[in-house]
Amino acid sequence: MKPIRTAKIYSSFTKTNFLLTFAYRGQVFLWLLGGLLTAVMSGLLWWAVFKFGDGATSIAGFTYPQMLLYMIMSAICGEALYCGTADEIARDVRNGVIGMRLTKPISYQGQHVAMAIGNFGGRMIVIGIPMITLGTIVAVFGFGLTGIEWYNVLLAVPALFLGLLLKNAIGFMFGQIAFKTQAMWGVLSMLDVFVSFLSGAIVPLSLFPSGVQTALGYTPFPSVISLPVRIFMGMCTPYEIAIGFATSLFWIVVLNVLGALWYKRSVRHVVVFGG
Amino acid sequence: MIELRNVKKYFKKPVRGKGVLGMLKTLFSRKYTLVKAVDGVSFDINDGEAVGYIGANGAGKSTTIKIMSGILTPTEGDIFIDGQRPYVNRERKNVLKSIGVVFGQKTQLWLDLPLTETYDLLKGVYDIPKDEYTKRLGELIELLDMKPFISAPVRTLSLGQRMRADLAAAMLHNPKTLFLDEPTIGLDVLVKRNLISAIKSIRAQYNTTLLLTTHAMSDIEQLCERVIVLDNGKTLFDGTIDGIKHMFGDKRNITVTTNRPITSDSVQTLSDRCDVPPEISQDGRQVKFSVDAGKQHVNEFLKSVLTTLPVEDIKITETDIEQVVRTIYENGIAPPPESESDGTGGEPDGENDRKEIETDGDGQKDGKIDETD
Amino acid sequence: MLKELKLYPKYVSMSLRSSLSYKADAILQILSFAVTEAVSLATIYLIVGTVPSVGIWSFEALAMLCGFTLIPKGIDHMFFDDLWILAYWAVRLGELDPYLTRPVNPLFQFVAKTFKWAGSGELVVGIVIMAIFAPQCAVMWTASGIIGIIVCAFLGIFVFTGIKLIFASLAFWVKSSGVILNTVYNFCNYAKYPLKYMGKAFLSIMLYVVPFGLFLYKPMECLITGENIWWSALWSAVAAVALVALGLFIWHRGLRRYESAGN
Repeated sequence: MKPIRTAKIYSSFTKTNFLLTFAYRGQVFLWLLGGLLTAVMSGLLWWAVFKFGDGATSIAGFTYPQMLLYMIMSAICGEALYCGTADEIARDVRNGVIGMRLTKPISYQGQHVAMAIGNFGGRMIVIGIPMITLGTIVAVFGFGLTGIEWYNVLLAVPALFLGLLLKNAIGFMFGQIAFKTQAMWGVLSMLDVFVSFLSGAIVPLSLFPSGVQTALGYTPFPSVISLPVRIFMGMCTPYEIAIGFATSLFWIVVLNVLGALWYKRSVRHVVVFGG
Repeated sequence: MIELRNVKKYFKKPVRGKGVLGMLKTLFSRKYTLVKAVDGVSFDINDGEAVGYIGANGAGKSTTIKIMSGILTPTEGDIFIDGQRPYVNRERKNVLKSIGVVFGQKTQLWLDLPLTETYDLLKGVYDIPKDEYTKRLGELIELLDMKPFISAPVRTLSLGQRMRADLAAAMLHNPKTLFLDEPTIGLDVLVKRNLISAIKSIRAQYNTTLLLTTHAMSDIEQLCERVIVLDNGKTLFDGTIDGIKHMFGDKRNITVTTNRPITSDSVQTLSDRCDVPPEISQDGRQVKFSVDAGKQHVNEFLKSVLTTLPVEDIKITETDIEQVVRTIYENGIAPPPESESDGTGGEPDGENDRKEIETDGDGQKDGKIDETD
Repeated sequence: MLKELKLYPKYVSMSLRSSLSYKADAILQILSFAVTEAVSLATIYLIVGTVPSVGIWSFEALAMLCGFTLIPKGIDHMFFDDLWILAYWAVRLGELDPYLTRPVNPLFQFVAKTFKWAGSGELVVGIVIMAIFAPQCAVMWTASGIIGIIVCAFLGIFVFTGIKLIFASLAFWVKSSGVILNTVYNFCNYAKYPLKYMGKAFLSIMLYVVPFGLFLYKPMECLITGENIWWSALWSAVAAVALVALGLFIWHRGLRRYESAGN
């Protein structure tokens, strides 16, 4: 197949998922409202923590404005990086359409990457960019946050994109469990909680005990949320950024290869035993 | 007695822009498309009558039934079922006790449990006394031939079995009126015939008032005395089966494939017997006749076809609803629609007759909420 | 009402029997409740751990509060779980149709049809956490206090239910309101912090706007300080009644706008 046509097929998946984000207007506004409420609550929460910290100006390396922006951004990025990959695999398997997917001349794995990119784009426009802009303005002008530079903001974009690819790869891998069991709801919600927590979407990873932090450094998780957000805020040294990008790329390759191998096994299972 | 008085149901749909920019614009625009699913329908149905309710996809049939069975609230107008309105909170329960509803595309049975479980629940839901329940369930099992699958989990039933089971569920509380929305959809010919005869025997036994929507004209012919044709949310025709047949003729479409090309001369004698000239395909190997079964015997006509043409294959189809509606338009009873409905299967109601309006939010009944709609 | 009460056991038994075929699902769900709770506890530990002291609230007391939160949450989960389905897709896909054609309250039918026994997992996890940490807290257990927290937990079920009903019913206007419901529902996690020290704004929101603080946090605080628990029980009752009433109102208004499927 010609590469241009292939690219077209994949991009149509991206586009569909991108447009789906806007399908229900009321939902989009409620989404923004929810994001705003969460931001206010976690802002107030940390305000109290800083106040009771006996006047400490920084906690785990974060000043209050930094913490505020980190909490808003990590929550919003977590929302934008939502990735239905595992969910969709489960649905395909349950509805028995997985067999049909096998006959399509495009890669199932690639199709999921294309769809995840579409989701991400839509969510970034709907809630990501508005909320991050608002959060940054509040943090900078309301609380005097410093350290945000244009080159860091630009660098955060590819970092976030790598985070997306990582999350998609994790989702694709764990989605294979759907071939083994119908009970995916529990599996997926557990996976979600784990990935959010370990990637720093709930609290900054620097609050973790140092041993845990070191161990996490070798895993793909910090690259999903913590790294892009900290790059955005100018909290990473060039060395850290380089290491972070290298780790992300390494894990993207490893997880995708593992996912592909596992998928091959699952498919063989379908072919032999029927879908 | 069912009375519909100028019933209207409009749906508001936001106008969706095309492409990325259009979608973004949609987020902030307050433009709506007003879909007039039902647009001023009035008719009465007397007790014991059997009425076929037909129309193209999107004509508003299902919407009407959904209003009659308490699912939707009409935008305007009133529906009285024995003097009570199904969409008014205080009158709802009385109406619902006297009707039974079956939606062909959705089952109301409990999927993971045997049929008897659902029936047992319905016994409580409708307050059916125990003796009556036992007697009636027995009758229905007999009538609908449900013995073989009465204790199997519903998810293992075939579509035809499930349809019969749904029908029994709707009849369990001895409703005066039965609404059937596309009961034969997706069934093959034999199963369909069984179901129709089951509905017939139910009517014979309980004298139930019946309102039936369907795509198949033959369903209506077998079950109903009266037909109401709906299009674009408006009533086009309301009268007897004979009346509608008289109006558009009981047509058979006969498609003949020949083993060598033919010319229009060779079908001259045959085309004299049709109202419309036959269509010959470009390669000359296929002819389509439209025969009025009311005017001549179809088998006579077929005999002539076999003798005059080098026939390889013959296909006969009955006129479908879309054709009926089109015929009614052509006969000039109603103004032709602005756009041709495409009539492909299973599309949602009310896609026609769109009008773009700009709502100002404040002027609306539910103005405040609509802003985030 | 009487009819609904008579029907309820039937619904529960049917629901239990049909869920027997999804045992693995329920077990994994319980496991996921436990994991979610562990992470929530860890989060509080990490955040509160950055502060040298939080007055009357030791970590053990906060853990007990965490456990307590799960009790009304778990019970609500068992009885009213399908409100999530209402929020996410029942309105959009027209799944309310069959309940509207039967002469029993449609909302009752909709919530009664699923009895989620997996919710009992949350309940058990909650009780276990409380049992572990309660003896390590400086609480003076009195009969009035114990009855008081039981009453608050009971009323709390309906606050959860009311909030779920309010936001799930918004789906009649926006087609799918799961996202906002999820956000508001998860605010209950903020009631696990020592609200007394969290500043006026935060405390007020948790008591008066999303009143999770009223029946989750406040009674526990009363237990620790020895204050009269019955005031918070009274206000919990007010909140429960008000929220359920508002939820029912929105549901009824919404039902009139219900469009079924296909439009």
